[in-house]
Parts: sequence; structure tokens; C-alpha cells
Amino acid sequence: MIESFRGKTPEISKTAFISKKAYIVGDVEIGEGAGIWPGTVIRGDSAKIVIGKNTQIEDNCTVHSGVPMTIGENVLIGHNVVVHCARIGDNVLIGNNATLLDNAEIGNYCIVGANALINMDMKVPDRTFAYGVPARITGEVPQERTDIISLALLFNVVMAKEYKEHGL
Amino acid sequence: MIRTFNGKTPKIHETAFISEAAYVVGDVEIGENSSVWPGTVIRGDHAPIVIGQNTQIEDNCMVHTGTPMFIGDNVHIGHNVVVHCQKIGNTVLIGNHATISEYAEVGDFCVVAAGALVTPGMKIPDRTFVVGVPAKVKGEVSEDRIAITKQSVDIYVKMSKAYKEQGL
Repeated sequence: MIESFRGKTPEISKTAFISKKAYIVGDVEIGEGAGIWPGTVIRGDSAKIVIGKNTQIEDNCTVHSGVPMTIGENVLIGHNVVVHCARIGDNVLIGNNATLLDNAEIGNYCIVGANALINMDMKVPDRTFAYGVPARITGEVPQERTDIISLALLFNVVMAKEYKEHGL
Repeated sequence: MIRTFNGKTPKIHETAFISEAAYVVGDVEIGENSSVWPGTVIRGDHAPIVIGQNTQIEDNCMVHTGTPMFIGDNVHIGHNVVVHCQKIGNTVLIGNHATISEYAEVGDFCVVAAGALVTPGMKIPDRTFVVGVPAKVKGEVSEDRIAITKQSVDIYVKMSKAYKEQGL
């Protein structure tokens, strides 16, 4: 479901897949090849939300922010994640059930572990791995991990196209 | 979507906002100026659920219980929270992605941190701040912090009116 709020209507690329069971409202931009999966809510009512190309936001996530939010390209966000931060870079993996709190920033090529809690204002540098409740930086992301994320992302991008073709 | 179950129909105050993408079923009461946001499910099938005035339950929350549940006035519940407890008092903030388990009771003016797990049967005294997995008492809630809870409640009461006026 795609809705306008206070005169702002989501701008969604023709090639993006938005599930019929997702809910997108207000000042939101979604790039080409992106996928928004069932149950996910993206609420651009307090501030603008920009989502880059090929980025996949899996099921039952909530994306909302009091300050403008940018999510980069080729980002894979798992199931049931709360995205309430200011920025996620490119080529990032956010594990299932993670929570990203206000004003936090995630660099490029990062991994946020499943269930991790990224605290308010935390800055996660490029190519680092953040894990735990609250999350700590626990190391660098090796190239092999980045390659696996690219594959997982590609798998989702292809599947999103299939869903779109099936009118789901 | 508002549904009847076993002869019980939700009683919702005419000023409350229930998102078109929320699901409320059974023995549920929702008070004046309260709001239920997209993706949230409130299931009053095993036991009644009573929600007070000016209370917000944000996106993708799950509210369900095996014993009667009371949620007070001026309560702000964040995104993707699981509310499965007996009682939440008045003027309380529940952070994003928290879990409030069976038989737990949260007092007045409390703050439950984002990602916290309030364990079964835990009793949180008035004006207490709890954090972590499992949740532990971290201290007393200051007047400044209570003012922030009240501010969040005010912002949401206003925004929910705008959503309601736009038929969302």
C-alpha cells in the first residue's frame, strides 16, 4: 500500500518491487531494482527517507526517522529490523532483528550482526563488523564476506523481479 | 482492519486513530486520542486488552496476552515491540524492539530501553529505568526524561490526527 501524507507521495522507481503487504507513506524515495517485502512499513512523515538502488528491505521491518535518512545502494536488510538511524552506506548487511537507533550512521561495506542494537549516535566505520546488545565494533569485514553479501543481495534482487512479474 | 471474535468487537473511541494497515480483533478497548500504527496487531482473543487515552502503539508491534492486560494513559510504545504483559502504567516510554513478557508489570513514569527484554513476572516499580537482555534496573527516571516522554506523546497525538483526517 502506497499512501500520500501532507502532500508528499512516495517516489518509487518503476523497476522496484513493493509487496502488496508493505506500507509506504509520505516523503520516501526508492531506487531501481529495490525490494520492499511483506509487512515492512516505511513512514516518511517526520523526515525524508531515501533508499538506493538494488537495496532489499525484508519482511516486517519498520523504517522511520525524526531526521532525514539515507540508505545506500546494494544494502541487504534482514527480517524484523527497526531502522531509525540517519544513514546506512552502500554494500551493507543488516542482520535479522537488529535495531538501529536515532542518528546512528553505518559506513560502507559494514555488517551489523543479527539482533544487534546500534545505540543512538553510534558511528560504525567503513568495513567494520558491529555485534551485540549494545553493539560493539568487533573487527573488519574481509573481502570474502563482502562477496557473500553481494551474492545474497543478487539472489534477492532476482527474486524481487520474479515477485513483481507475478503481481505480488 | 477491525474484527469481531467470539462475539467480542473492539470498542474504539471515535477520536482514536487506527491505521488502515493495523489489525485489531476481539475484546479490545482503545481510549480517546490513542493511536495504532501500520502493521501493529492487537489480539484480544484469550483475554481482554484495555488501552487508555493518548497512548501510541507504533508500527509492527504485537499486543497479545493470556491474562487481562491494561495499558495506561500517555504511553508511547516504539516500533516492533512485543507487548505480552499484564500491565503498563501511565506516562511510560517503551523503546523500539523491546519485549515485555507474560505477567510482567511496568509502573508509572517508567522507561524501558530499546531492545530490552522484560522477563516473565518482572515487576518494575514506578519511575524506574530498565535496560538490557534480560532487563535490569539502571536507575530512576529524571523529570527531564519524563518531559521527553510527554513530548513524544504530544507529537504523536497531533500526528495521528493528521493521519486520521487524511483517511489513512
